[in-house]
Amino acid sequence: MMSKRNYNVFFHTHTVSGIVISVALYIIFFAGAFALIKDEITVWEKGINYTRNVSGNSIDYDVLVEKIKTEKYDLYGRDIRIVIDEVSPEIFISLSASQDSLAPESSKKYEYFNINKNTYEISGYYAFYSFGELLYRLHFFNQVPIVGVYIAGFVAFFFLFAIVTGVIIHWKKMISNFYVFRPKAKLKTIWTDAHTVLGVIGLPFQFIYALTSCFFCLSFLVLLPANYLYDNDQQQLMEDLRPMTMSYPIETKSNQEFSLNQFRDKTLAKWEHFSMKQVYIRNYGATNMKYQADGIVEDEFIGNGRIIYDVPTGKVEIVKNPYEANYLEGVELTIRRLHFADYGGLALKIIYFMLALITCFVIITGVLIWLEARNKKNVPEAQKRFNQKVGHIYLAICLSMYPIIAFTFIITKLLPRNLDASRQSILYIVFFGLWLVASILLTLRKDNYFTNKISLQAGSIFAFCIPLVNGIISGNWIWNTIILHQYEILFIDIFWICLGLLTTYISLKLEKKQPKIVIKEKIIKTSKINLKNQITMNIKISMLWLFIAVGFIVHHIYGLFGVYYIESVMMEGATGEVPIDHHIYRILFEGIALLFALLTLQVSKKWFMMISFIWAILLGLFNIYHCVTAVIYESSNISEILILIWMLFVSILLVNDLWGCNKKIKTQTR
Amino acid sequence: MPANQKYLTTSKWERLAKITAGLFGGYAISASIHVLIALWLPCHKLVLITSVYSLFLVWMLFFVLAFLFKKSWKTLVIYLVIIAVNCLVIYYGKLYYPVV
Repeated sequence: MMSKRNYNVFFHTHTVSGIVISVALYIIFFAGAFALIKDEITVWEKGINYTRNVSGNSIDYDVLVEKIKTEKYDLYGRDIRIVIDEVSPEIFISLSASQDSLAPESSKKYEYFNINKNTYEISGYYAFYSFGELLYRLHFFNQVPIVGVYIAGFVAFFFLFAIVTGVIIHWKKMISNFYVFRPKAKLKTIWTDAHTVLGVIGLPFQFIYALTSCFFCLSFLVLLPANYLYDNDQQQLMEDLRPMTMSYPIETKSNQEFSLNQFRDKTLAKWEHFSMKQVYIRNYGATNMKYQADGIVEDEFIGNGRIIYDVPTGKVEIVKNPYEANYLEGVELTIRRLHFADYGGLALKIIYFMLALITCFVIITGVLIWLEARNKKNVPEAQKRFNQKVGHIYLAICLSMYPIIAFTFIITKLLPRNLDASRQSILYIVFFGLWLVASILLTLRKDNYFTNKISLQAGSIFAFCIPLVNGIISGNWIWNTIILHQYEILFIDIFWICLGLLTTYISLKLEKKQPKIVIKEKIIKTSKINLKNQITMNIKISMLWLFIAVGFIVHHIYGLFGVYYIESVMMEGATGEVPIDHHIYRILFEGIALLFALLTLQVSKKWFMMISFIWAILLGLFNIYHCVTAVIYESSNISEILILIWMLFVSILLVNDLWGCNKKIKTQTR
Repeated sequence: MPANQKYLTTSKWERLAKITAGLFGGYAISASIHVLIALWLPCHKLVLITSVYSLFLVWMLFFVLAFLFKKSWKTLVIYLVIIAVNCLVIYYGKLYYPVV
């Protein structure tokens, strides 16, 4: 029997841990839901010239190795890792540094790239940056340098904590509450019922994800004690715990001719249903060169197998039978399969996707309960205002993710393939930029009902546009993809239609059940608009915009000063023509700043102030980035750093003043 | 619905002490328990591979427990004692049954 005190303590820890991680967790689950189908998304994005893939089991390793040798890198003494994917035509290749101490400098670097398994064409890993990749990386905050993945890991750990405390507090009424749903009751009751019921339905799923994610993101915490046990002998540790990563010290160079494909054929002859997932060629060209095939048999859940051949002698060195499960190797595979949902085809991924959406809903309702429970008479006004604000920000960030993702899907199709080189930056700007703008606008609107409705509606419209855009741009209309059996592309189109239908249905069913706002609005005396004040403010803001433009110009001139010190001003690869994106940069930076400087003197409308405010924030973020990179990469260039710091300062003033202006306009219109 | 305030810790320092004990102490306890089991049982490989998930579960358990103590200094003392005892057992374990 739990004491009253313990119950309340558990309750409070559940609330606090939940609310602290809520937004991050929502982003992780929402982006993660799409990450499940990231390979399908990549195929869908590329669209044109899509041909059926050859099977991963019939890759020609001799051709592949020859191709790398003739076109790219010297292979002697390296370990080649070949990661095969069924959906994507690209094979991921990574080359370790050569173990040969006499190898040239160029062979002593780790390299990675892709090879197409149909054409054996080599391409850079980032040659085509897919939106699926962006979402996949977002789901463990990889865009945040260094610490991102650890933040994600601790979010997962606190999620685990929130799940366990949640189960403890609901334990007694778990079964009876499961059948309680009171849609006609007041808001808080609806949120609570939904939170409890959906939380229980998703419980196993969420528990799996919390635990497996801890392992993926915080594995260094597992390695810490293990390394201590092994006295930091990492080689031995890895060989004992992850036998697939075992490496061999290199012997001498061998001139013997060899073929790798015979080992592939031998492996496949051994186990009929074996599909190869990773192939390692270790100590390439040495007398102890190895061919290692790792794979799975689909008829077993933990059906991982491995075989290692010694290439010069053709002898089998190590066998791990895929039909004999063993705990040591099964643990990591189980964790991976449960997390990546690759054990039941697309149908399973759809179930996972829906469970992820349910989890998102549980997170949102959790935040709403927290808000509603604190909207009471005995809560101080200031505290209430703060809570409301937090609620607005949380919901704006979370809910706007859906339409922005859908919109970026459209953009991915509209981007022409000759922009592939800058595809990553364009996608970053479109996705993160729009998401930021949408979050700010929806936060300022201060209406959760509106945030929800507009996100669902806009998302649905974009969702229905996605198959249309795909058809128009790539000719991959749904009927074409059915005829050509291009099921990956078809899947993404159908997926968006279904998602669009679902969100349309929800948005039509939405009823405005506004919580009674208990906060007493401050009575604002609408005094006569102080015209003089307004004009001085506008002049001030206009001056600040001018400063920004001047700052950019000074910055450019400093760049030109190199001429005095013999440095050439011609850029690398200049052709005599100004590239179009440089024009765009100029317009974006100086042009728009000058435009705002002029317009601020003439226009003082609400919408205009709002646009200037958003642009000022974006510019401020850019200035921060610019300043930081200048300090890191050209720390000796003092004058340039000073002008950048000055611009950052102007940006801050500008944002601050525009914020004040927007607030004032708001109170006046009330 | 919010938890009843009268049962909760009000002092910021008390709360900080409990979180510290749960986060750092909890991890230290969990890690040391796994190390000592790996040392004293014959199958250290199996213990280590199990630790990829059990480490987080045990850690989480001690994180939750840290909040159940009424006084934060009690949490800290008890956790420190557990860690000290574990360290002692590990010391002798490493002496008699080293892994490498």
